[in-house]
Amino acid sequence: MIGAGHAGCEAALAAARLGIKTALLTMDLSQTGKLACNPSIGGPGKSQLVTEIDALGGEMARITDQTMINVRRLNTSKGRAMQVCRAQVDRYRYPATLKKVLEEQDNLYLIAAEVDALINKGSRVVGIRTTSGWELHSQAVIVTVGTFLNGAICYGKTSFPAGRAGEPPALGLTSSLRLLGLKMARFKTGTPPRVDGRSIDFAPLNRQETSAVPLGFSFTTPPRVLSKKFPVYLTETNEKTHSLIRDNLQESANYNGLITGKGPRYCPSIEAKIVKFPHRTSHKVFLEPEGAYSEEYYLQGLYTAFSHAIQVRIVNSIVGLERARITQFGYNIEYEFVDPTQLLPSLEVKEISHLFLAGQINGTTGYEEAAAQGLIAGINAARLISGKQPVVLSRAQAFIGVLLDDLVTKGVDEPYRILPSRAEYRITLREKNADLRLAEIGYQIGLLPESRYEQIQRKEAEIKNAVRTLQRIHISPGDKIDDLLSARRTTPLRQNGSSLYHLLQRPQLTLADLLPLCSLSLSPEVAEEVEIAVKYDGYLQQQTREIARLRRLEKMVIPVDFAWQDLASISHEGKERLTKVKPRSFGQATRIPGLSKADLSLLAIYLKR
Amino acid sequence: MLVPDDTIAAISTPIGEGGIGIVRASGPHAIAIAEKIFFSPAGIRLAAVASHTLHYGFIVDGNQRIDEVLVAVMRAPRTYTREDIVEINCHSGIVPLRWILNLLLQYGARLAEPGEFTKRAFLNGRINLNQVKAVLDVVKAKTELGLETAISHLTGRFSALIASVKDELSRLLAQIEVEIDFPDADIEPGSQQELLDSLISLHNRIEEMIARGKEGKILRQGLAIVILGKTNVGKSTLFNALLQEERAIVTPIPGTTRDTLEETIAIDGIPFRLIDTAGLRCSDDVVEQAGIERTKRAKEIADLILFVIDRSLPITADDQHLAADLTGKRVILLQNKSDLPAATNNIELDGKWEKVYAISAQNGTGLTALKKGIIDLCFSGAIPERSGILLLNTWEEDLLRHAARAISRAIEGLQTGYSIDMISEEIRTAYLASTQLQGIDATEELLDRIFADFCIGK
Repeated sequence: MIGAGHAGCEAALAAARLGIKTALLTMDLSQTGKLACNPSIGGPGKSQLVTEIDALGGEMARITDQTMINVRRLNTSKGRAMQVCRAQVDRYRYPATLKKVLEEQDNLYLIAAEVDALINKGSRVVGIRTTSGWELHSQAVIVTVGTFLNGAICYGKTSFPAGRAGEPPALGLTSSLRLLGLKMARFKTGTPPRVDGRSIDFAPLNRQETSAVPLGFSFTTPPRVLSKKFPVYLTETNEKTHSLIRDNLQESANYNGLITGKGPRYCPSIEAKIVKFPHRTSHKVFLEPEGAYSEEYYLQGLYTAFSHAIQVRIVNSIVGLERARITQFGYNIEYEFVDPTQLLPSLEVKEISHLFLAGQINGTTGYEEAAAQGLIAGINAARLISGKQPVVLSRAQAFIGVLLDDLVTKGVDEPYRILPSRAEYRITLREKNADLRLAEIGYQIGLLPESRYEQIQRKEAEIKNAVRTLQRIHISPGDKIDDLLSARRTTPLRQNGSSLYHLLQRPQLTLADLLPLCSLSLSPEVAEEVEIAVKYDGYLQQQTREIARLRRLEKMVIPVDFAWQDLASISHEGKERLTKVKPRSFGQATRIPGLSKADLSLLAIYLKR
Repeated sequence: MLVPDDTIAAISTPIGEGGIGIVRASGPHAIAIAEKIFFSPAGIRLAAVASHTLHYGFIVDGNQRIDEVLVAVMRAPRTYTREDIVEINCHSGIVPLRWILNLLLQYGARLAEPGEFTKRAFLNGRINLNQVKAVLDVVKAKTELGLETAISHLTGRFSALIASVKDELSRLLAQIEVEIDFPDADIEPGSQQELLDSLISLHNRIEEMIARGKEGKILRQGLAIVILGKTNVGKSTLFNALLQEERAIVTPIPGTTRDTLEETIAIDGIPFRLIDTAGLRCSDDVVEQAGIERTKRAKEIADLILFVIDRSLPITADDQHLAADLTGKRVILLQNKSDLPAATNNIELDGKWEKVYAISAQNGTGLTALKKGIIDLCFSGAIPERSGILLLNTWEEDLLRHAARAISRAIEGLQTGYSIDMISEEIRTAYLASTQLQGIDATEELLDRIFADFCIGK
């Protein structure tokens, strides 16, 4: 395992837990599990990844639960299916806690060393060599080096090689990967400045308190209410900020030609926001606390690559920050990533066996995206060594499946972030049912203990029973129900009454309203699933039908050695696209952008031959 | 969603040439699909017949008989494509051919791309590469492509409409999705009322598109061209001249009242209903009444009027009377009998004419120009203002219906108080249908929209 970021840590833990002797090499052990950007985990799409990692036996959710300092439930006004948690975690306790888990793991060895090259025998990787010349032979190598490939930090008119702030890039490894024939491209990403909390005037700022309702990510730790010690504060830019930015654009590495890589659209720099949306008179800035061991606040929303002198003026132009002292300046980092269409859905490199890539090296951003890939790469490397088939989650099973399928099928043209709108079956793929969706797979892989698996099976049975009970109990018109219905301003029952199930489908009624009418007593987790199962029944059924169709297409497997070049009569363009991705199933082929229906149906005929 | 083992269908003979046209379907469901639109008076079931046999019957659309046909059933593997093939031999006019093809598409076949039958034949090992090339050249020159070109102008109109529907859906969806994807971002929340209003107006637009497609003027009947004029100006001669030139399609239009003479003709592959009205005579009371009624009805349904005068005689009060009644209509003025010397006095006729042609219905002079004029008006959008030509195939119509149903569920949901995650599922369904109609990647398009319209990034 090369790199001890969020991908590397999950990969190493998964492989070691599956009984594989695992070495985790990193330049600087004190940076293990570092939160290089904002100290926040979860949010739409990302939160689903976190709970899925948990359901499969990964670590991220548990560490988050242990170290979060402010957590909120988002999208509560948008129905039940899209609700997710987002937490601020303690920037220092999170990596420390994670490192402890790594250290205590059997089969896992942490080693501080810089890897200079991969050792290969033909098209198979057999080990690594460090900069000191030490060679380590292994059955598989997982590379999770984040932004360290040919990384360069830029701000103002300055640019210098770096992996992250204060850390050198991995130059040897970059050329080693290139020598193996991997195609790479450049992306950029940014961070905002951080300021000393003692220099902030909090009085005029709005606060976002942590949730008063117990929340958490892991299915194994009970939800908690956190202390109110760490609110997030909210301020905004103003006309002064904007004219300062407009007048000094040449002082930003983003606009003076220094940076050429493409950045993420969902994380634009403040200068990009001003240029792109000139009619806006303000943009929000969140002041995120960094935890018990720091007075620093992270200025979320103020990503920038301005020179330090301008950054000071920008920060001081904002309400509450007039006297704020910057402790760390914002910067942009440009780095190389590997075109992920060169990977199999197992995250093994197509052309070079026993080499796996996971995390930001594959063109993604985000801790959660990295951790999810790390978990899958760790599992599949272990399975490869044990002679087992790789685990590939489908788009219908998990957000992790959506993430990996998008990466290896569509590739990336900006740093990839998971989003609910990318998931076709998102009503089915909820944050809080990840255990129900994935427990069986986690158990079969061997990362989920049997006791946990049985517990989840019991939960599933309980949900089914409760739904059946609601279907069975029939309510006739009567005072009690009539009062409830009129209080909720919904139509009265007809003469022949209705089942509780059908009553619950009315948007005006909740399960809590109806529980007094039956003898069910349910835990909050079960109650939520029951309510969703009833209220979203039509949507869930529709998605189930679509998923069945998808599964049929995914079952048409394309052999690894399929002779793509021999595909006569498929259009030239179609052949080019197919050859690039080399889909592993017909279903995957249907998702390759720009393939015509005729080409696809010809491919289907080929496959049947 | 694409089914890998799909059945393809296409018209496989040139339009309007010869008396017989063939619609062909190939694939695992070819026979089952044909069965659904085939009625045999002898009670024959295609699924049960022997391979390589021919069967007499009718193609039916619901209760309506479309055409009298002979259906050939050929089972795999001894066929051109080595798949099950059905060939429907029918009358070769564009109307029955398109209608039958449409029915096959409606019951699950996919429109074949040019040369796709041959590609399948090759892939299934039936013919070699050189044969493929030879066949494809012929195919390209003659049939599938030729038909599609004639119609591509019209599908352009549909694409534009669908693009505007898709844009609106993408705008509405982006507003919802951006709030779900980025709950903390700096976004003006969308208003429920505005969403509802937009959905209702969108629903109406799609319903109107479906209605236009259903009217199927261009597909099934063609635009109505009505020939008007007083007696003895040469209307019937013109009617017959146009018919002869364009080979009348024999299928009578179902349900048409026969008090006017009506036939369907195809100009450049586009079908038109050509309606001849009897001339009006002012003196005879009874006939006048009937004539006025007829003219009124014909004028009501007319997409284009060919108003005929006799240029060899001076304009009369009858001409002027009729012309005055044409306001609000698209009219081409035809000065007939150009083979005779023109009248020298009183030849001006007031009116708003799209075009004016001097023709001779008798010897055919000017008819080519007239037909070109009709097609020009048709493509420039001048004619179909009322009816709107929509060339919907049934796959398209189905997707539109699918979208309309999803939108109406969204409207209902909003009115009932369903949560936005449910509403967005419906709008998404409609949006996906519209992107399918355009053949683009929905997710990427939507994200582009989100990032273009909203300032994201907290």
